[in-house]
Amino acid sequence: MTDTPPSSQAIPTGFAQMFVEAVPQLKALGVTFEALENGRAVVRLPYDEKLVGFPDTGVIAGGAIYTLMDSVAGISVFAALGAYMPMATLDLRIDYLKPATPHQDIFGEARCYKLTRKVAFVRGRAHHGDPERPIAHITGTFFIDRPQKTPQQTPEPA
Amino acid sequence: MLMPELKRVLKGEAHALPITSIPYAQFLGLALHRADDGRLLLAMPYSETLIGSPKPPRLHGGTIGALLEFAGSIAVTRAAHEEAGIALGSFPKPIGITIEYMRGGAPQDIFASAEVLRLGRRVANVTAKAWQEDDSRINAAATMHFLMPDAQA
Repeated sequence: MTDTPPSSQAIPTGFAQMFVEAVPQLKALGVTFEALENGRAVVRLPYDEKLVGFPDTGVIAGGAIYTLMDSVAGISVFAALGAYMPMATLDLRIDYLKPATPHQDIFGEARCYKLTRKVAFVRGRAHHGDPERPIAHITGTFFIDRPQKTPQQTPEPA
Repeated sequence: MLMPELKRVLKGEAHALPITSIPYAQFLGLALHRADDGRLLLAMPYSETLIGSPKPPRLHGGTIGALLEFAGSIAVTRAAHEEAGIALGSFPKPIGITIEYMRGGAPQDIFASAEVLRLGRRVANVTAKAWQEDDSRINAAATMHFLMPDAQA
């Protein structure tokens, strides 16, 4: 993912960290904030027995990875917006490229590669530390509930 | 591998059972319900830990996705068992899932049901939907495909 982020503004990493800590489901999963740089957001899901979806192999449930990726995708949109705005996932597709390795943490990273006034387009991947060996890939669109603009204000960039 | 909870609900030994044989299902608090018409529902009772957006409180879209994925995987297991007479050797593994979100999840119980569109030998195609108070007011809908596990040896 080498795309140029649609906005050079950056929300403080402190905000992204606070966001991760304030979401009860992320707290329950044990998700931690890792990084926010150049429009790319990274979070980490520590391996935990309670998240196992395949008891015969100890592999983490797809749903836990899905939740991780939905969250990091949202954070990448905040980063592209340069501000917190209410938003909603319109759709999210995940491809499970290979099973996660038991007892290894999972990193989720995402980048908003296109931002329009009302819709953000994101892609991302999950991996065990090497982004070139992904476990899962996601694409998603998010609806942005921006405050109403008055007509005098500058038009949005393409 | 028929989950013990699914086996019991299909046999009619219970109408509703929490899923305790899969840690992540237990983490989400999922429970299987069998409706009078035979339809299987998967319930995710409300818990504060499921919240993904504190103000206003909304269920995390990811947990709704996880609910739909489980509903799909259970539907495939059931279809293999009841329609094809196959006891799968393991849980079907999801290949790809696309979820459309139509309404935010209110802080209350949410339910899902899934339909197997095609049960192949290698791949199963499934749709699923999730709703709260009214099953005609859908919160999210999923299309997904699963890799069929080998039959139990």
